[in-house]
Amino acid sequence: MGPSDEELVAAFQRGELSAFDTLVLRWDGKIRGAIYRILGSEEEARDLCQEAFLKAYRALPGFKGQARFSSWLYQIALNLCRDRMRRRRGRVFLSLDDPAGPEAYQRADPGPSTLELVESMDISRMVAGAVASLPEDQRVVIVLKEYQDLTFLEISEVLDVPLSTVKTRLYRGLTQLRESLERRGVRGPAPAPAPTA
Amino acid sequence: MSCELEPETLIEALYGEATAATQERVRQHLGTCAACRDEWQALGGLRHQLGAWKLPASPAPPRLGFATRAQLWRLAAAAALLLAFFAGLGLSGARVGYGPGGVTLSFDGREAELERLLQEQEQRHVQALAALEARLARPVPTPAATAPGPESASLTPVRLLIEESERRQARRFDLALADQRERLEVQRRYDLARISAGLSYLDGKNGQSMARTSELMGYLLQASDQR
Repeated sequence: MGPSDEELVAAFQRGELSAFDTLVLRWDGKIRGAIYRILGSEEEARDLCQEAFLKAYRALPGFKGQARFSSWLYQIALNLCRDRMRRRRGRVFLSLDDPAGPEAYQRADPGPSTLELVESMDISRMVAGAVASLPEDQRVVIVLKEYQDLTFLEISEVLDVPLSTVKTRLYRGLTQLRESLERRGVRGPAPAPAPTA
Repeated sequence: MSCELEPETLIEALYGEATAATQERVRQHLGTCAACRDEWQALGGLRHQLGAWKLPASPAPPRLGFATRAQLWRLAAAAALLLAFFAGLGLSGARVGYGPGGVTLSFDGREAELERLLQEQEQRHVQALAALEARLARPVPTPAATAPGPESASLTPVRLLIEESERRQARRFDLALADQRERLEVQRRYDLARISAGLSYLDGKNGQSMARTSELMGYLLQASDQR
């Protein structure tokens, strides 16, 4: 268990620049994954992730710890995503024709059978397409909850919206996703167990 | 959903973030309300499907079975490079060892020398940047003032405008330079951090692979002893 984010931020503010390297190592993958799932482009995810760390590096000396470092970093990354989407004028990069980029077709993993591979790639492609077709606010909440594993409270902090708004957006997004996937012929595989007492 | 259970509560329970009391309320409700039970199961199934969306994997390594002539040449070149590298290591007095902690590489006191060379390089880099900044910060010499005549009086406003424009440009240039310098520094740190992550990963992989090999060798030796 290494130093916490807050300890690293404090060390950086005292002038230990190497603390920033540890923060990059810790958060680079997560932030890049979130950007990739929101924008659908690996190249843009790499660029914007680096841009997010650049902004963080510049702003970190003035960071007062009003929010958690991770929430603050997600905020920076999401603002960059919003700018990029605005520049695309509402166009969504991900499409059903090429949702996961060419890399998805370069896998040569001998593990699963060809049929399993094709099926999983198919579902992955359809999920990617369905998520991409969601309105931005719902897509962001779903990515942060499902793939980044943030709590409702953390998402509300990152997006600066009330807790109830987060849950409503998530519910609407999931409902829309379900309909979208059903239209594409994908049905839920296993029913969820009822909550335990 | 058309009953008294609010969607937000269902969502909270679905993600396991509801309080124990709410969780219990939802559980009891699902036992009596078929519509909510269907909704619950559908959302659970959907979450399972969402898990199928993986991040793109890194490109697969080239397959040796179908190596073309050009690929074979490249492989040969890579092997030659590796040989040269290890020969260089040998000549430099480096020692490769294997112990409980994995593979180790030592340079017999050359680490300090390497460190010193890296620091020298860093210092040269910093000095060059400082010199460049100092040169840019130096004021541009202004031409000697001439006695004001009827012609120069009419040119004065133009000269002032030009000077102001030059000052503005110099300020803008300074800002751009500072921005670029900061950007380079972050880029450098970012790259170093990622390289270091890659090296740790490789180090771990090599260590694991060596451990597996030595374990296998141990089994083989045991088996041959028993015979």
